[in-house]
Amino acid sequence: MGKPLLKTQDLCKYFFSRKWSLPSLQSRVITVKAVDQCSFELYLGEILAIVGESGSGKTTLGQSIGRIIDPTSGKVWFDGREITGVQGAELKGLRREIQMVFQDPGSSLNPRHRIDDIIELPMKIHLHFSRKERRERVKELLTLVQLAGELMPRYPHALSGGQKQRVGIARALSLNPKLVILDEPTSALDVSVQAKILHLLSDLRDKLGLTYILITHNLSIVKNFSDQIIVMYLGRIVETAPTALLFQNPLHPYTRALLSATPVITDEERKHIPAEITLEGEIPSPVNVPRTCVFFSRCQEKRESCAGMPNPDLEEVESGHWVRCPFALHLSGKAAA
Amino acid sequence: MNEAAPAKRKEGLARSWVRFRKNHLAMAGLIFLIVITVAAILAPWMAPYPKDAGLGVHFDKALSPPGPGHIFGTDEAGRDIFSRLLFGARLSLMLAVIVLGIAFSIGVPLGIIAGYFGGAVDEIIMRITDIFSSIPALVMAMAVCVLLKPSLENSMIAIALVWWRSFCRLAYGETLSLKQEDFVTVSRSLGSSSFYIMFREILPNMTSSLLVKITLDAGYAILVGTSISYLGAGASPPTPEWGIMVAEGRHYLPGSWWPSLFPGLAIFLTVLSFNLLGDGLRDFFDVKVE
Amino acid sequence: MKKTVLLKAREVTVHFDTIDGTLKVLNRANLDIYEGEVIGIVGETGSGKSVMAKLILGILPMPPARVVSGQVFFRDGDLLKMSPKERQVLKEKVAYIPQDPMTSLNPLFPVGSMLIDAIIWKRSNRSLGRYLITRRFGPSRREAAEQAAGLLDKVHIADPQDILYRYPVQLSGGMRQRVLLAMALIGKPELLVADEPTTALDVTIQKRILQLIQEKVREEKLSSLYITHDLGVARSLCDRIYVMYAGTVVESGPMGAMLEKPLHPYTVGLLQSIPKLTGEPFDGIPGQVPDYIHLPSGCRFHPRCGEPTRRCAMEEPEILEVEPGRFVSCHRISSGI
Repeated sequence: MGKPLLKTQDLCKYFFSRKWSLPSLQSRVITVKAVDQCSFELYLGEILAIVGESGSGKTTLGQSIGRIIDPTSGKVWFDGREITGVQGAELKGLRREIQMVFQDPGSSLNPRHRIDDIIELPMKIHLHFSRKERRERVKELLTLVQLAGELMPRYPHALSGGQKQRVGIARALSLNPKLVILDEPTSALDVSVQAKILHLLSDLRDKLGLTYILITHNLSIVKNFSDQIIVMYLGRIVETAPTALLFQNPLHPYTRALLSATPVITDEERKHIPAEITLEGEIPSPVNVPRTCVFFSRCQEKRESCAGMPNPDLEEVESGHWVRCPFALHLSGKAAA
Repeated sequence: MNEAAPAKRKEGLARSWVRFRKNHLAMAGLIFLIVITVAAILAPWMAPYPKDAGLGVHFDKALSPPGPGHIFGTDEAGRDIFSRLLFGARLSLMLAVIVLGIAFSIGVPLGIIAGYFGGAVDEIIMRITDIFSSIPALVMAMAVCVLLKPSLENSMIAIALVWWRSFCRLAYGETLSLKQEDFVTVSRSLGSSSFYIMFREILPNMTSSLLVKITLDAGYAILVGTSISYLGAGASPPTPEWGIMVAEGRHYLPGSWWPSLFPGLAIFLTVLSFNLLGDGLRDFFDVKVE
Repeated sequence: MKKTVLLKAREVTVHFDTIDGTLKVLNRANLDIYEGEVIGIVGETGSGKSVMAKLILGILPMPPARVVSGQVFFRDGDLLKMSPKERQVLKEKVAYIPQDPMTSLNPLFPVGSMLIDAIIWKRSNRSLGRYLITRRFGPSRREAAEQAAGLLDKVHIADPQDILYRYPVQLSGGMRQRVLLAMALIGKPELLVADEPTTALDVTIQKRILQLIQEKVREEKLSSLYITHDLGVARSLCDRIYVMYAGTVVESGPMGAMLEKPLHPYTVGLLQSIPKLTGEPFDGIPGQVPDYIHLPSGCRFHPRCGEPTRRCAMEEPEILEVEPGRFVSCHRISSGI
């Protein structure tokens, strides 16, 4: 297996703002802990899925790794070297290796730019290709994502959602990155198009030797298109495991609730869902993350001791399977009975 | 399986033109403006009495009412009003182009820079804009004119100095909202320079609002320009500028109504046409967004 | 036990007149809703499902929309041929939950005032004068406030008195959707039309809201028309569904039968496109949704169909009842059986 392609250690992203209260004219600093203490490893050729709902921090985590925003603290290693604080030319070099595909293809393409201009932009910035060479490459990329060359001079509004997303993927691939971060790549698309895009991504991974981070809330996609899963809630990793293991034996109460809420269409699928759990209450805001277990307010399996206990640590319960809940094993035993 | 784009509708310009044509008022405005522009360009050849636009005087024909030979009559110096109007069109349109050109070139980049960088840059630029904004256009323009020396060129400078602030504001507002768009984030994450993002990513997306503003402002600028001349702080006789023509003709109202009326009508119709065209453009772009 | 028909739509054809041409959106659509049923209309973007719902609700903008033919009977009256006054009476019996809870509540007013206003309006029997007078003063307002609090309690909002004074911006998506549900229940409607009410919500919240809707529909003995693109959601709520593609109802029938044994190629393709927890391969449907101006000849689905017959490109298929209660609109099926 060798060394991981990407490794993070205690990665944090906090947003700070100052809140003034009139008339006392005092201010308070409000900390939004969007991502808190996230550590994981990703190996070459793998697909790591980061799963969570709004406020989980999954998008922020993806953006921190892709250096769209800068992490507040923690360390990141990529391809053997530490990239935590890189700036300038080194950062620019890093951008060639880590690329991102965004959720809404409609807004991630500039409506006033032509498709070929959109795809060749990364090349214009980073490579010293002639115009002709860039055009050639754009054609290659379009073929790679199964789009017709005639689309080159067109504008985004002439394309369907699926086509726009393919353009976004082509753009991300133009510099031959090693790691592609996919932020909900199919959420804005219809189901019939979704499948095609996922297949495309899978083919591209095989063809080009890519490694993916897939950010999504959809567990059905994750089941079929990932090797490793991280479940996040309020900025923290609450459970992580290889895909097969996680679905076989989901342990954290939140993971189980998420699975239970996943809409399924066959009775067969029902059997893969551990228990009927409907969470009450709202997803808390990451503004005031409680000092106790992050899931305490909505957990349906909480014990009295949970109220006083500080945020538990991640513990390895079986090979590669980590959970942030001391009672997890008890629960799994309970459900299996 | 390669996917071609959905069936081409009457794409692009052709389709947009068909849609725009349906707005009859805007079309009327456009046609009138085309006529005026052509007339202004061809003035030396179209005017029956080109010299009257300059120093020609014919006191024997002073204040002749509209009739054969002089469709709009003559003024107090016997000059053909129609010819003078044509040359006046040149001046007014030129004023609009120059004023808006200067205002646009100063205001838009400043607005984009302020909106994009935020922080201190934003504060400095926008406070300066605020200072300029607190004085009404006409008053400010007049003050500058009087300070510099009343002349047509100076009135153009004065108006431009006052006009850039609203372009700055518009560009600023648009930039604030556009910089949140995903495609800007993408561009930044790819490593584009700030200059590229401001002028190649953000600016092209505000062209429709800028175009509408320029059109509507053109009319207003002409109004301000002719008003300054009317009040004596701009062009001076014998320049065939519409504003002073109205001012000079004023003394002979109501008996000899034609020296004031026709220039006034010219101003009115021109400004109206710009307004109709501008409104039409605004409706046109609105629908496209949906 | 013979059920009474609540709503019956027959051969409804609706066109939109736009500058680019005539969009032939709805194509001879049929729909039946019996008392006490939950009916789903399932379709992807652009399938015409929202247009159908809005037509029933009477909120379809009539230029540019134009009803070319068809009838929509609510109990005995044809909605399409009624006078506005008669429609007004019927509108009271049909309640609506719109799609996006974020934008469906007026941000300028506290939630309670909107509920109270709606209650008083209903009580004033559509008399503007009475409404204006009782709105501000007197016991009616206090009673209405109590009723409003009662409604919020019905939709399981904790501390209704407090929520009455909150502005929409202070509430989460799930809360806003509950408020919209409460508003829909004022006036005792007979039919509840819900247009993708949970699409914008997180999965765990969605589950709670779906359960709530189910509960209320049963409690208040309502019939419900549920519009969605998610078959999984439809499965958990609906008794019968209609599958729409490009403005045509391609198949309809009881929920279980539709999922177990889909007949129309589009339904088959749709089911197959959805990633499943059981890990079966999922493929997508090649091609894309046609644009309503340049529709394919004959069957609207034929260019994307795996096995079209010669007739498919030439004429539109008729609706055939292949089993009691099961309708399909497909040449191959009509001829094959």
